[in-house]
Amino acid sequence: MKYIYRLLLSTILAFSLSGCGDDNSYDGENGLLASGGASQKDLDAYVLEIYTEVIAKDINSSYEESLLLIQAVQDLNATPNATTLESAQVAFKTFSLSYKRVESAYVAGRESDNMRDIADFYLEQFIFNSKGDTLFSDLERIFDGTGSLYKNSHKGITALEYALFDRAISDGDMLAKMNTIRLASAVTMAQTISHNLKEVDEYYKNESQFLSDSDTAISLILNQLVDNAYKLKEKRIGDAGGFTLKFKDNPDRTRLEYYKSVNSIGAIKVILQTHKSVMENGLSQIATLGNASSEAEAITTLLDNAIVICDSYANSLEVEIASTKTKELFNLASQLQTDYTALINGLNFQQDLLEADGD
Amino acid sequence: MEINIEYLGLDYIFTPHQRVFWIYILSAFFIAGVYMKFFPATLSEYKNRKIFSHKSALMDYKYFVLIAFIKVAFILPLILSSKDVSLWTTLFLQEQFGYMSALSLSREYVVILYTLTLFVVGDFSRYWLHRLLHRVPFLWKIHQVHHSAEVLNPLTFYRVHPVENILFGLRYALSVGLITGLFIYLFGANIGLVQIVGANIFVFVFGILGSNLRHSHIPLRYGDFLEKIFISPYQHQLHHSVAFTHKNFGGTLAIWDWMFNTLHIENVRENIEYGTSKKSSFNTITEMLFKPFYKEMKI
Repeated sequence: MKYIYRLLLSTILAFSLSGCGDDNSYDGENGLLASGGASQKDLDAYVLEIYTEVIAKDINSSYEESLLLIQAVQDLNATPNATTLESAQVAFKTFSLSYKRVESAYVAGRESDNMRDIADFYLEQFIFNSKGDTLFSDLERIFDGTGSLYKNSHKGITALEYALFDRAISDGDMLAKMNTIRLASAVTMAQTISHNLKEVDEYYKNESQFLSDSDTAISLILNQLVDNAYKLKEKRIGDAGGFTLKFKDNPDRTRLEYYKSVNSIGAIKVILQTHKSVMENGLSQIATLGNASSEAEAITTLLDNAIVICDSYANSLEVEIASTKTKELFNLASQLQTDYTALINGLNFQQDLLEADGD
Repeated sequence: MEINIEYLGLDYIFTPHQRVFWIYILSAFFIAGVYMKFFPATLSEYKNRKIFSHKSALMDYKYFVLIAFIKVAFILPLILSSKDVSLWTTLFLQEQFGYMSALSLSREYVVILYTLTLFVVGDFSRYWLHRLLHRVPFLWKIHQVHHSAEVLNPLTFYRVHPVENILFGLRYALSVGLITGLFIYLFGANIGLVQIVGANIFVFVFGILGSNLRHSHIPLRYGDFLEKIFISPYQHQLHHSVAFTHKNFGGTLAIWDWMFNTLHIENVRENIEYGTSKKSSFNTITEMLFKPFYKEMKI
């Protein structure tokens, strides 16, 4: 029995001493930057920077882009021809990228139920569609006059993309599909999207508590980023590339977010750029204050690498969906999610502490 | 030559999560003063037994400085980190059950729940490790360093063999790491602690209510009913007595002792004999550090 005790003790000691990381000089239980060395004034300043340089800036520019989009779609509605169609399509592509920026750091949905509903119905329709929504068949019925534009999801960005694009067909064929209902619906969709962006903008300006409590703000942005990284990996790359359990070895480009407008890699790139913006405009500095700079550096390096991969696509992601490059992008997105988890974890253990005393 | 106060343990006095944080020491003296006003015999015991200048107390002071150095220089850089355990736990849960978007529970609730869970799980794991230290023969040899104190003072708390420090450090890493990892899995970054002056509220409240009196000769009791829920200073003093060494293992809560039949409650008795049955087993620092192994090897 004595030997069993000794063996048990030796195992425990070996385990405790061998499990050390190389950054073990700090340890402890603490809130997420709730106290410790981080100066509240510095934290507030960095949170303000994230707000002004990323969140507020992106919602403003996205709203401005939405007004241009409305104009382009109204022009198309008034004069449907190849020129106005192409203008509307270009306006959509430009707008959709700025829209992705808003969505990537969308903390409003985490603060307010109403803002979350807007996100569910409009901002992230792609995610919901992938869960079996019947959006496209609904839209076909609406455009041929047998259905009506009544659901919120009928007026979101995925619906508008469907209304304006049909991949790989000529302008002539596309214009032939553009009946008055489709054109009028497209205008309604663009106006609804713009209206919602205005509402989000006003929420940030008038109701959001993001700037009133830095601890909560940091929690909100971190949860948003990790969630967004998960969706990037799983829904925006993995499902289409056949890398997820659900679609293992079954790649299908039509599952890409902007398959119809052939804009998926652009969307992925701006998502990564938005993450990088958040890191560079405050979150990395906050991580440094919280003794989690190594975790933040890992994220920044990874984002840089992923952006380089996005830039390296000679063709569209739609064409190269099953490539090793896409697999590499998926792996990086997967690691990004893990790295954000590590950052959350790192910020929670910022204080020197070893509770090694008995009683 | 600059001497880092961390290596001498002096920083403990200014660290709110340490037992000898100055506010806790001050409050212990205040409570002790009030107690002595009503029970002057306690003061006589301090004078008669020369509690603070007793050879056992002198050993505590010397050992405190040494063990603080050992912890900073050897144990802290090596021992398993609760931060690592937490990350492993979250990633393990994500792998096993899939990624979960952070539950949208109000941050206030999460913070309260997290603080409470850490306290309860921490106290529970502390109870069981303490009990094992008494029940497993080799661990008991190690733990006798702590129980060899013949008089009690706040620094007796730190009279602990380095192996016991490692075990308590491991206990801490596992309990805090597992709970934090689980909470991060469920609530993401939405966690935090209810703190007062930078310490967990439970540590602070327990400290201010006289946690230092556990290692003292102030036999403060909470009454029969409360002593089934919270360990009073007197219950811990009984634990240090020769007669009831293997009772009252609890840290803050007595419910574990109550649940697992190790609780002992009794009225204050006079002339308690502290220490172990074999007196003067650990007369020097060297003996305190090496005798448990030496004796073990001799068996």
